[in-house]
Amino acid sequence: MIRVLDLIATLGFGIALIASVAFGLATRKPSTRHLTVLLIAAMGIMTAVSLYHAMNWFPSSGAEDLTEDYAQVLFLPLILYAMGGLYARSEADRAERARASVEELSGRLADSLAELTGYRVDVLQSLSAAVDARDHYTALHSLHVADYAAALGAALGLDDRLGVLEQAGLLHDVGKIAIADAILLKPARLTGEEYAEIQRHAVVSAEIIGGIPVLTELVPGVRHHHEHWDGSGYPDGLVGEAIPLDARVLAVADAFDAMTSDRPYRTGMAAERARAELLAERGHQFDPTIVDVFVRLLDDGVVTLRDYADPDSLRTSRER
Amino acid sequence: MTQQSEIIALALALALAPIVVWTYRGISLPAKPLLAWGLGAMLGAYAATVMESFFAPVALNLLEHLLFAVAGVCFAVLGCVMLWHRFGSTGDDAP
Repeated sequence: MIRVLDLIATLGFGIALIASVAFGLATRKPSTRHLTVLLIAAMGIMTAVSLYHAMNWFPSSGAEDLTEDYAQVLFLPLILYAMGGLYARSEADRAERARASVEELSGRLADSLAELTGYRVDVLQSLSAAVDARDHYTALHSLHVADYAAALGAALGLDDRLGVLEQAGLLHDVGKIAIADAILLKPARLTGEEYAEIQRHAVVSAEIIGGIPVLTELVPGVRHHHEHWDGSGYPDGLVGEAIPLDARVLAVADAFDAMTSDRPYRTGMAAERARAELLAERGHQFDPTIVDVFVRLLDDGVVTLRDYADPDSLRTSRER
Repeated sequence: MTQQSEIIALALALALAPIVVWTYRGISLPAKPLLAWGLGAMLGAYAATVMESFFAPVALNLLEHLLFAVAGVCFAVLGCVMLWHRFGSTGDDAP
């Protein structure tokens, strides 16, 4: 009976010894080498003691018992220190590798996101260019509005909204796709009915943009960029600060570019006259604070009249 | 009769007991209870070795060997669990 128990003990410690050796072979790091040696020593001691019991190779004597008892006592701290230390080191190594992997993946993800953002801006510019291209009089209008809106946003301290303002500027008139050429390109002043049809473009733009999940943040600015500070605008007749801030910024940018660009039925205003018109509508059509900031930008030369004949006159906010 | 080696070993075990408890509480291992069971069995076996000199020598000797066997099984399983947990679960830890 006792011999069977000793054989079981020998087998158990032997397996543990083999596992320790395997652990040591798999983890050939100097920092864990001494711990692995301790683990192997502890298991080796107990394997030898158990085997000694099982085989009863030597007649019992004081010397053998002394060795055996010391061996057993030594086993305890050896096994604790070795196993605990080894596992802690291996876990620390694993955590370090995981951290390095996460950092690498984060870097790659950031690169991919930057690349995707670049593609998105390119797509938005192409889309706005397609709209502008329907009417050579308003070619580049969306790019100009985006540029003015971004400049205004920066001056207003809306640093976290610059991208949204720029993209909303690019797409604010995308709904004009749904307006018939006969009205959109009419070389004369519009009738009331035609003007009502043109007014649909704000809602249509918002509907188009709202259908694209990554662009939903642009919807309030685009939908309400024709609202007036005094409530006389469209499509919802919002008043004052009920109008989304993005829309109030776009309204000033849109109006300034519209006034200074040529139309089939008139030539564009000079910057000075457009500036005066903005001031005249301060508190009526436009948010007075935003008009003040835009006028200051004009006066300081931060914002200059964009030249429709010279696309290079554009300085988008990304380039600033 | 108590042998000199058993007295010395008992003194060593008593001196190491606080270190064993302190170390055990601080380490993190999968299947940690197996370590506790294995150490408990080892200590029990050792106590039985010392006590068998004073009374019930046959029963305590049997208990000593039984506890050694239990300890062996515990450490064998623990060794395998550690290996599997460290290297087998992800397969990404080649040396």
